[in-house]
Amino acid sequence: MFKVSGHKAIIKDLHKIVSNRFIFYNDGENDLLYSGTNEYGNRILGSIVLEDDENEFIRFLHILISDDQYYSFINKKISLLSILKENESFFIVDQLYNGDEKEINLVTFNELPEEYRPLENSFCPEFLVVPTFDYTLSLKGRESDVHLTKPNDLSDVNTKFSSFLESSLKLGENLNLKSSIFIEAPLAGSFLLKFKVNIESQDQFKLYNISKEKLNEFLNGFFNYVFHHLPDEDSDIFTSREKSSEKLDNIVDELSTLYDQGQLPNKEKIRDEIITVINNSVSNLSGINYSSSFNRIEFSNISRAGQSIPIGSIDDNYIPSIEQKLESLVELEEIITKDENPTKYSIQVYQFNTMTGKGSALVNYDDKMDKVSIHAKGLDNYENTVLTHSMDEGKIINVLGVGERTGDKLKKITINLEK
Amino acid sequence: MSKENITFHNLHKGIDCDCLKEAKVDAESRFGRKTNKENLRLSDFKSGYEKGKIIKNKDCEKICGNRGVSLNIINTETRNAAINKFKEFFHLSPGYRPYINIISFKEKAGMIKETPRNNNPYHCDFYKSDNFTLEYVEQIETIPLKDV
Repeated sequence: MFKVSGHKAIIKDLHKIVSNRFIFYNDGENDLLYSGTNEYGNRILGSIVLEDDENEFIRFLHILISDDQYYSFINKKISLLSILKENESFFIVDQLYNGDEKEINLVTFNELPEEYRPLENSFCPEFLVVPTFDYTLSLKGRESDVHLTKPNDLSDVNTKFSSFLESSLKLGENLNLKSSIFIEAPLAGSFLLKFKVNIESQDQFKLYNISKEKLNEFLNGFFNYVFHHLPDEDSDIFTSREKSSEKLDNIVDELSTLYDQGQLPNKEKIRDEIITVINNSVSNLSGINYSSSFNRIEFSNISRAGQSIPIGSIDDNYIPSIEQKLESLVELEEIITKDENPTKYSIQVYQFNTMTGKGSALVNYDDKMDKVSIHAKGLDNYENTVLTHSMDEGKIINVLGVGERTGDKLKKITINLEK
Repeated sequence: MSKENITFHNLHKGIDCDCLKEAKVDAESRFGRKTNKENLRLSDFKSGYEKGKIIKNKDCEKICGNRGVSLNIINTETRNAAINKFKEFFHLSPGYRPYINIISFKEKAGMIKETPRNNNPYHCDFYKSDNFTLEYVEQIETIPLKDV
């Protein structure tokens, strides 16, 4: 046990979970890790710290976390310890066994004794829930937080996500599964959009002996990959069959298990199928207007127990983070022609990573401005280069680069900045 | 020994469920129990119900679960896996029940029901008899989770 200095919470019930409670881990007696939202709509992550069975209470940490932290945590990208360090302060909630609160205090990370701090490897454990084919989209930020949104925004998101789901479900076509998507009426006073996927059991379905649960689990894993891992993938894995990643291999393996062994295509074919579907489905999500009545979207699955299982959260950073990969995906299927020598191009950079040298630009090509991927080479760091000046000042610049085309379309320019 | 020889009036007080359905007396197996201290205390065998935990769900499975004590069955083949299951959450909460006590029960201690879960195939519920005391428990080994 450790004593907590009495720093009372200033805002009433800021620590208290009142809705969306989702239990990640229960040991048979207590909820050890869970999340939910307080009455102000903030997301809270709860984790058990200790049980004092002599004084008959359980102590929990309640941490107010951002969406980004939440999704990074459940995808094991960041640890509980790193969240506590980053947030610096959090609530200690002492709860009696009957669920009543005994005491609540706001504390800093330094006040948490070392023996009670999560360890360096305090990543989210695997959590198992029974999924369904029901999905929800929640619009977040701006007016949507006060249950308002513009009709065009709503219609646009509905259409784009329907198309995204429809394209993703093409993965079932080779399994002879026919799917259709239904949109349920939005709940009054809320911006939670509901999608229902209907999978029809055909004769082939029985023949292949595929359980809907397995397909359901696969789809959720696929969506998780698309929203969380695709932005971090190396583009090369989509352009070369020689290269891959553990996450992509997992998706390929999962889809392979859905095929009847006698009908199982080779892994390369399954991989190509997945890459094509990623390309087609994700491209539906470009052009969403995040600067109008909302600024991010949360995509969730509904468990059989009615809990909302978080799958992904996207905002206006999502498409730029995968744009080059999408173009790489196209390249895999189409014939690429390259400039034989560095050629002069007029470009205006609008997105650029100074660490990787990769970005996007508008290029004056065939007398029109078109989007193109740019890839700078030759330096360790690309800060204070002509490319960052073009981006920061909105200037068109002339560069010498090697252009790559699929058909007539200029897709990528590689620029060597070596001095 | 069968359940006729020992009584479970306290277990079934105020409920219409038969918590002992599919439960058995097991004085042979070894079990693991996560505890707050190195040495076993009577409070380590208090069920959620005895501690005052309220279950709103009317489902007998949930009601009985709240009146049982969670254990992991540990046999020779599954020992490491069952102990690692206890360790699974340690890195997030090293201060929560940081010891595993490997124990066995004498016949009059109570009954065991296997209640495997999605995240724990070794999970069992232990239902204490009315006369349960620590004398019916043999403490075989105490393992600090930090050493696992």
